[in-house]
Amino acid sequence: MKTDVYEISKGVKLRFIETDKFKTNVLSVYFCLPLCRENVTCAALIPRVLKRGSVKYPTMAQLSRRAEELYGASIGADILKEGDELLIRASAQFVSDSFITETIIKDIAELLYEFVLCPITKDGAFDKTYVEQEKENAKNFIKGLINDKKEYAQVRCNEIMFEGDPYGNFSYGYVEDLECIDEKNLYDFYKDVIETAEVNIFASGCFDKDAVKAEIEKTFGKALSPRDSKRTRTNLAAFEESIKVKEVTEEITASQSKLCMGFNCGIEPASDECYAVAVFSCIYGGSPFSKLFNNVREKLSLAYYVFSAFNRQKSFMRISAGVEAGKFSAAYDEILLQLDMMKNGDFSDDEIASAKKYLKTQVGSIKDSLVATEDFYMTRAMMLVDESPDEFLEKINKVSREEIIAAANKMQLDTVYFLKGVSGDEI
Amino acid sequence: MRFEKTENKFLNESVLFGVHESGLRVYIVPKKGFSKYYAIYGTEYGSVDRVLNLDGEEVMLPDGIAHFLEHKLFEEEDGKNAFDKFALTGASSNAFTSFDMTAYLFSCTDSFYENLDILLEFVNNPYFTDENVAKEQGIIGQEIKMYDDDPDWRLFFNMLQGMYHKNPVKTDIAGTVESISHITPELLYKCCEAYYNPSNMMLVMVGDIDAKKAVEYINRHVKTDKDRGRIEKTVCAEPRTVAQKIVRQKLSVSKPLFLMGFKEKEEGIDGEKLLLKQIKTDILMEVLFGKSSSFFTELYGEGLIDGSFGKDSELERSYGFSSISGESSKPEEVYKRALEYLTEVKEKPLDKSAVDVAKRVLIGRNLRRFNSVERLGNDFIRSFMNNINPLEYSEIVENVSHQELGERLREHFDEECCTLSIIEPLEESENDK
Repeated sequence: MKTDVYEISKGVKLRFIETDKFKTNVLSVYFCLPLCRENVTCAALIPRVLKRGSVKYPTMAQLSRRAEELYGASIGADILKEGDELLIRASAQFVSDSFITETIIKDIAELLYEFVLCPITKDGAFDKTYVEQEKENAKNFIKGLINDKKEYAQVRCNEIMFEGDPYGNFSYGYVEDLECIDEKNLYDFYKDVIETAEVNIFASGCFDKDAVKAEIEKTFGKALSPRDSKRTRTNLAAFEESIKVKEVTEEITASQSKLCMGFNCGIEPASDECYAVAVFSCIYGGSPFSKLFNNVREKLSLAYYVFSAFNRQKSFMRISAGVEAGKFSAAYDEILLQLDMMKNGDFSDDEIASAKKYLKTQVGSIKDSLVATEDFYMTRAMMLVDESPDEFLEKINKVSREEIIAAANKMQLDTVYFLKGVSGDEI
Repeated sequence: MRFEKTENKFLNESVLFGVHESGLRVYIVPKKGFSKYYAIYGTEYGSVDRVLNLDGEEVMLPDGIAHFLEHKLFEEEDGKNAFDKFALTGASSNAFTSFDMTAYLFSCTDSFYENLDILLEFVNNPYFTDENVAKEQGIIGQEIKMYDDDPDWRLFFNMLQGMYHKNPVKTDIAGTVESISHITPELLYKCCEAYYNPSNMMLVMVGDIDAKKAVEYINRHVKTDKDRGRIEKTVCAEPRTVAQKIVRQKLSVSKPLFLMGFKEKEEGIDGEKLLLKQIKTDILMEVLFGKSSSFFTELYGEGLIDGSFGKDSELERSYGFSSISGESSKPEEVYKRALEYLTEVKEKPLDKSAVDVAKRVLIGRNLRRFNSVERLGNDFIRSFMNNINPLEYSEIVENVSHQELGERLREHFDEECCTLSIIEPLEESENDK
C-alpha cells in the first residue's frame, strides 16, 4: 500500500492510496467545517439535496441510472463528526477497470464532480421542491432516532455529557432548525462550504495514477479555488476537579433498558498516551474477551451486550450496555468495579498480549478494506498525526503495563444516562 | 484427501474442494495479499429443523434450540470459553444461527492453523451441564427481549408469520423465553450427535492457505466414526398462498415501517437451478424497484417513501421470498401502488435497457464480494450448502434471457402470495398527517 499527497490548489489536497488487492476503487471528497448548532442542520441536508439531481443529470432517476450504468457504482454523501469538526463527505465506490471490459474511472470522476459541484440551481438557489421534500425527510429521520434504542441512548448520553460544548450537537441536526432553512439560504451555506472549507480528495485502489490526477485537476482542481484552511481546535473532554457526575434517567416503552456512561480522558490525540488507552480500552470493554464482557455479561448475566469505546479526537470513553431495568444498579456497580480493577493493575500479562494481538487483527481489518483505510488516513489528516496502520501497530506493541494503568487512571466518570424500559401501560 | 480446483480466470479467483474421509466437505478459497485469514465451520442445521430423527426415535425440538446450542458450544469443560482461547492468538471469533444453518467462524492475521485447531476442537467437543444450561437461559432470555423491542426484527418476523401457514421459517430463531425453558443438556447432546455429524457440515477457509497443513488439523478433530450422513431436509408442503395478507404491530417508532414480501412458490430446489432463479429475481427487483425505477422515483417524489426504501430477495432451499421495505406515513398506499404497478408492468414487455443496466449492477455487486475475506467466506458457504458454484455467477447473469425474465415476473409477483407487514407508532403523532 502506497500513499501520496499533492496540493492541487491552496487548501485542496489530493491523496492517493494505491493497492491492487481489491476489485473496486473509491474516490471521495471531504469538506471540513466547524461543528456548531448553526452548521449541523444545513450540513445534514446537503447530502440529501445533492442526490436529487445535477445540471447534467437533473433528476434522481437520471443520476441513479448513470451510476447504475457504471456497473452499479455507489455514489452518495454523508456527514461525519470528527472532534469539534464536521465533515461533509461525497464518495463513489466502483469496480476497477481490470475486471470489466471497459474503462470507467474517468466517467466516475466526472460523475462525482457533477454530483458534488454541479447541483441543480435556479436564480442562485437550490430547487425549492427538492429542498422542501428533503427537509421533510430529514425531519422524519431525526425523529426516527428513537427506533434504535441503543443509538438513541448513546446520542442522549452525548448530549448530556457535552451540553454547551460543540460536541454536544447532534450531527443530523434539529427539527426546529429546519423551519428556518430554505432553498436560498441552504445554497448560500453550501456555496460558502465549497468556496472556503478545507478540502481533501482521496483516490484509493488500482488505476493509472497520472490519468486520475489529470482528471481530478481538470474537474475539481479547476472548480475549487485556493482557500485558507480554517481549522477548529477540538476542546478535549478533560479531567474536572471535584466533578459532579451528571445522572439522568428517562423512560421509554420497551422491554429492555439501556445504560450509557461517559468518561473524560483528557489526552491529546497526537500524544503517545493514546496507544495505551487503546490497549486499556480493549482489555476493559472493547473486545470479546474484555473484563466487561466476561464479568458483566458472561459471569453475572447482568447485560446482553456491554462494551466500551474510546474516541481519540474528543478524548472520551463511552460504555454502552443493554440491561434489565431491575439490574441497573448491579450492572452499574460491576462496570465501575471492573474499572477500579484496571486502575489498580488487576489484569494479567496474557490480557495485555491478547489485547495487542486483537488490535493487530483490527488493523488487519482496516488494511483489508479500502473504505476503512481511507477513513484511517482521513482521521489522521484531521488530527495532524502522520502514521500508517503499521506504524500505529508498532506504537501499540510498545505500550507497557504501567502505561495501561496510567491510562485507566485518566478515566473520570462524567455522565450516567439510563434509558429505562417500561411496559406500555406504565407510561 | 484430494482437492479439485474450479476457476474463474477473468476474475482471477478459484475454489478448491475436497471431501474428508469423515464426510466433511472442505473448501479453500485462495486469497493472496490480504492481511486476514478467515474460516467458517457450519452445519446445515438451523431454526427450521424442529424434528430430530435419531436412530428411529422422533423428538420434537423446542423452538430456539439450534441458536441455544450455538451459544453453548463456546463453553468448555475446563470452565474456559473458546472466545478466550481465540483471544490469546488475537483472532476475532463469532457464530450465528440462521433459518437453515449454524456457523462458527474466526478471522485472524496470524496463527491461522492454531486458530483452526481451536475452532475444530470446540465445535466437536460439546460440554453441557444443568448449571451452564440454566445460566444460558438467562442470557438468551435477555437477547429475546432485545429482539422484541427491535422494530426491524419484528417487522421481518411478522411478515414471515403472515406469509407462511406451516413452514417453520416463521418461528423466531431464538425461540421464546418459554420454549427455551424446555432445553436440557440431554437434548443438546442429541442435536449435536445428529446435526453436527461430519457429513452434515462444511468447512470453508479463505486466505493464503496450505491445504495439506489444514487437513492435518481436520484429521485431528473430525472423527470418521461420527458420521451419520447428510441429514435430509423435510419438505413442508407449504400452501401457495399466504396465511394473512396484512399483519400489524404497534411499537415505539416515529413513523410506520413496512415490509411487503412475495412468497416463493417452489420448494426444495438447489444448485444451478436455484442460482438462476436467484439471479432472475435479483435482476427483476433491480429493474422494478431500483433507485432509477419509475416506482421508486415517483413515490419518492410524492413523499410516500424516502431514502430508507430498500429491496431484497432471499431464495433458499427450504423457503424463499422477495421484498420491498422502508418507512412511510401511508404504508397501505405504498402496498396498493406496488400491486397496481406490478399488474401494469406484467402486461408490457420489460424495458431492454433497464434489464441491461440491472445486469451491470449485479456484475458490479458480485465483484465487491471478493473485497473481503469474511464476506467471501459467508457468501460462499451459503452457496455451497445450496450446491451452487458461486464462480459461475457473472456468466449466468450475462446469459439470462429476456423471455426468462418475463416469465419469472409474471409467475413470482402474485397478489395472492403477498404479505404486508406494518409496524405502527404507539400513539398517533400530531405531525403524521
